[in-house]
Amino acid sequence: MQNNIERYQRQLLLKHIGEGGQQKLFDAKILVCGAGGLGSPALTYLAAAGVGNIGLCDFDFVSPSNLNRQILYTPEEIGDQKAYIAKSKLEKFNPDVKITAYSEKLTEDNAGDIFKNYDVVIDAVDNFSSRYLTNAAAYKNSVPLVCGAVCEFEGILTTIVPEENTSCFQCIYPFKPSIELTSKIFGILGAIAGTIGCMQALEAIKLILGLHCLKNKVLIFNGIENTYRVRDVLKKNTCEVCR
Amino acid sequence: MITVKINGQNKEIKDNTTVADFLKDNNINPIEVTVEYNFEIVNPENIADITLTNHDTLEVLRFVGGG
Repeated sequence: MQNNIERYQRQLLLKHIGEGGQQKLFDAKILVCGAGGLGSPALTYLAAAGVGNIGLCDFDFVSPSNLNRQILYTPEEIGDQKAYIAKSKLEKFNPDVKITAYSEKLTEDNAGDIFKNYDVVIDAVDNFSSRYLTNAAAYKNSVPLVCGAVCEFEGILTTIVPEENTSCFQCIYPFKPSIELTSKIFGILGAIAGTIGCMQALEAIKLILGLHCLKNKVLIFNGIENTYRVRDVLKKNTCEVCR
Repeated sequence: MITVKINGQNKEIKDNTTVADFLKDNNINPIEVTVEYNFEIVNPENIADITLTNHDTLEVLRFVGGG
């Protein structure tokens, strides 16, 4: 290990990490698709943990309505491109970490080329079209995918591991909604996005460390009732993506 | 009344309630959710055709926004 070890001292104490686990994190390559309400906390905690190579993919620009939850950005940055601001801040936050920013829109044509450079992808996007796209690209390129979503006071999380032939996002949502559903319609509280974004970072870290993950399961968090519920997701033998 | 396990909790609902009725009664827009009835995902077009019976299991999941 060559990095500033003192920075990681508290997590080096953890029996599930230690020096061996920390080296795995230094060597890891994790991509976060979407640097918004989920992506901001996910990226921050991946960088904090010392994940050595972090990619972030977002083509959007900062707008005032982002600021209740997208904690990487400030009012002075309204109108600026998120990918580059996020990269700059994360590099300052942890200089040990190499950040690669992708400022183009994720498409069927470029997703595979980007995904295959990473050990894990975090789906922190804000719309169904992108979720179907990241799910298919992750499965096609055999890259584990951590899906998270938030809506009002609820959050939901699942982890997909193609190499283990787990169920996928399309097993849960085989019927694409007839209209695009985003937080623009339903609203979202920043702390809910922060909770699920942190849990996505945790799932990605556990995948790198080889620890228990939410494979074939979905976690549902209700911030009003203070409940977490984990239930099985059955793999669909008719699924167009993972069958 | 019948007992249906909804999102992990047993709830009493009226006889002859369809999945569509249940969603409407709970102010849930069918477009926003994926519905699993007895461990099978339901085609949204068919929710009015499924009548809940005693001890059925229903899961209603919303995998919506992010950014």
